[in-house]
Amino acid sequence: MDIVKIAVIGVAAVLLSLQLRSGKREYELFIVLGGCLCIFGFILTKLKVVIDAVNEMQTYVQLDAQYVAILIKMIGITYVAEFSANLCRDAGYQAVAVQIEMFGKLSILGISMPVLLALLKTVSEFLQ
Amino acid sequence: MSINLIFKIAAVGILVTVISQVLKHSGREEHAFLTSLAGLLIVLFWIVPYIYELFETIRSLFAL
Repeated sequence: MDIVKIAVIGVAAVLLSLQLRSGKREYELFIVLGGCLCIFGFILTKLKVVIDAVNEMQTYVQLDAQYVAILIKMIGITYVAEFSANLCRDAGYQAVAVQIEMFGKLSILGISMPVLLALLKTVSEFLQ
Repeated sequence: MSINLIFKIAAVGILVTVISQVLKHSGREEHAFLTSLAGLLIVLFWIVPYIYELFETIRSLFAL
């Protein structure tokens, strides 16, 4: 079962980093980062399945490819922003984490602007 | 990419902590600092390619 493997990796990383909390603090963050990278390896397999399914879904339902790409891009931005922001928060630097999250939110807003404009255009065409 | 990355980092961390304690008590303060710096560099060399690979995969997967 994959979930058991993930749990073991996570708990092992946390317990090991606790050992180093008293001595050297910087290794604590390295171990946590190593643990996140290992778990990301497993996330990747699950993620590929989802994205392949979405792409295949597109062949059946005639969606505009642009909107699906925007959707997938949003997921990517959220994941990276969340990963790095929480890592900064673990290290105790709240301000940096907030900056990263703020940038993530704004970039998602920026990406979704064309969708909003397309919606308003179609609505205004109806009204005229 | 498996779990031995974590154990390697933990081993380096504990080793450097012990060595720096020993050096500190034997009076050689700067050696202790140098060993901890060396340990830090070793761990960095291990982790940076993984981080690069992580962000490269994300960029290719999400077409960012």
